[in-house]
Amino acid sequence: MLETDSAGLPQYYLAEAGEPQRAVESIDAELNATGADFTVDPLGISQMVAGSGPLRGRTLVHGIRRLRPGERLPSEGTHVTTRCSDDWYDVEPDTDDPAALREVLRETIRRTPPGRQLISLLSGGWDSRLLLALALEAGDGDRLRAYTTSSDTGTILEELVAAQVAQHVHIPHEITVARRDQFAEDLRFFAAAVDFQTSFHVWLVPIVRAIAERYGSPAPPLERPLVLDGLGGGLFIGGAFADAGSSSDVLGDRINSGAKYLDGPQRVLKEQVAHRMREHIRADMEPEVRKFLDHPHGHILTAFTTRTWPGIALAPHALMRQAADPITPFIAPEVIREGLRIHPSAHADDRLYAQILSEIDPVLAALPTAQEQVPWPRPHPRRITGIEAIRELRRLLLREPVCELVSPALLAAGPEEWRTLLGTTNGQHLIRGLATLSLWLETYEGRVSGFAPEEWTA
Amino acid sequence: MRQRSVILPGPLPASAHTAIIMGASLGGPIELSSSLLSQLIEIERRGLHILLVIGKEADANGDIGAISRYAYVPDPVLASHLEPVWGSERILRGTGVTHADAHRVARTLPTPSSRKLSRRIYHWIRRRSP
Repeated sequence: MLETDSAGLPQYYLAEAGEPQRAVESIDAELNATGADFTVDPLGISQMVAGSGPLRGRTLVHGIRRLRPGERLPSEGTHVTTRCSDDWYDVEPDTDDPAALREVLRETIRRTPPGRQLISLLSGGWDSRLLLALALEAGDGDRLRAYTTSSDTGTILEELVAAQVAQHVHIPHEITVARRDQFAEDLRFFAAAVDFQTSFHVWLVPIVRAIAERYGSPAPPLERPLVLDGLGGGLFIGGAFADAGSSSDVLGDRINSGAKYLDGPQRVLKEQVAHRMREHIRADMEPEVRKFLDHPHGHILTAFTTRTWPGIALAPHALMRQAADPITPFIAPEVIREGLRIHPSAHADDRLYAQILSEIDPVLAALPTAQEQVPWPRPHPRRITGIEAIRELRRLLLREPVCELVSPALLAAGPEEWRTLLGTTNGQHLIRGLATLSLWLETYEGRVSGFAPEEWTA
Repeated sequence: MRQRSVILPGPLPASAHTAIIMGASLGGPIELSSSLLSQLIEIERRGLHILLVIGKEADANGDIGAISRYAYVPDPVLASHLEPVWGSERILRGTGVTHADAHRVARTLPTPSSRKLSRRIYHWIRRRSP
């Protein structure tokens, strides 16, 4: 069965030079096929380890690609061509009023397939709250159930605020807990679910397990629950990709955003490796950034169009598909269009959420989000800094050939130094990315070729 | 002497480092009520520890277990049973399940980062900055 989007269109395709393009089931299926011969794509690897995942349709290997937003693969037989329709972003901002955006969101939610259980991935933030409020307004209260888990950022405010929201709207709500001794298993489950293309969102695995346990795995297609996935809300409703207001180097800032986890003193990677990864990523980003440089929503469009479809990011969409069918209202074309019609200044500081919600549920519009209340320093110990996680991450990073990329000081460090580093955003991200790379190389040993640490160290 | 730990629900003095929740089997709350939620949000904003006292395994389950940072488990068999889920660093062992026992265990916890002198001075200066 082909991996498809909600319209039934395939998502992966083979694009070998000189060969006809062919839709494929998954990256995993291709790498495991008899006679498969794929070589690694060093840029894709750099983007996975140090960014959010391979960009611009890349994967970790040459030859297999993923669709980007705006691209379609008409599946006529097995031979396909990519068609790019990008007029949906040809929109100029002309209003500060979110009324039309609110209406298309309502229409999008009303199109949710009836009869199936509806799951809210309720966090302490705006996106899940808005989707929940829209679903309730559409009369879906009887089939709604909310799940929350720790995003492992060192605070429980997400869980507490989510519980406040669930209590206010009177829907069943469950806070699922990640077992400390299941870290290695969760990392493997997550990596396989997203075809090893990203290391974000490992923390969501407990919710997938809880959904699978409640509704069955695999549940029959018509009994699979639908998950309201807030993906894209930060782009088209919120202000997550607003340019830093005072920056005089918009071009440089946007180019560097793909390599931000490499900023600062390098304590995870060898200096030369970090330098190479940064240069690879920046060079790949530059033409995309220039394409939208003068657009009022340039950073948003760059971020969106360099990601892959159907979920922009590979997770949580691909992860949720293990137990449910995600629906992503914020990246419906009409929602994108109306979101882009609103001036960037009106998106700033996430203020549109409260404006949209005020007509739907004034209490939720006024309830502070977790992010607005988050303490510093973060008070809770993170799961990833626990000894169980450290043991597994250290084991994966000490393996050949990934250890060739790692700072010798980190390889020799004890648990306390690992704990300190995993308590930092950049350190945690890079270590998780390298661990995912190590798992990928272990899983496909003998099936992919060409991984050479010298690519980054020479 | 300043009060470093308090039993929830209850008043929360400025000097507190740790909020203690007794497990449901020990007379504590069964669920996150609206008022308990509001108090926990205040505790979290202040960066304080939340210590759950577990008398029976069921105390560790549910939403209250999910939001607690540390668990005090006097029963050694139960403590060993819960350790794989909570992690060895978050389980505190000891004897006795009275409020006094819980306060005594709370005193063994490290000072929360937000209550360390350097951080309090930092916040004091920030509050007075224009």
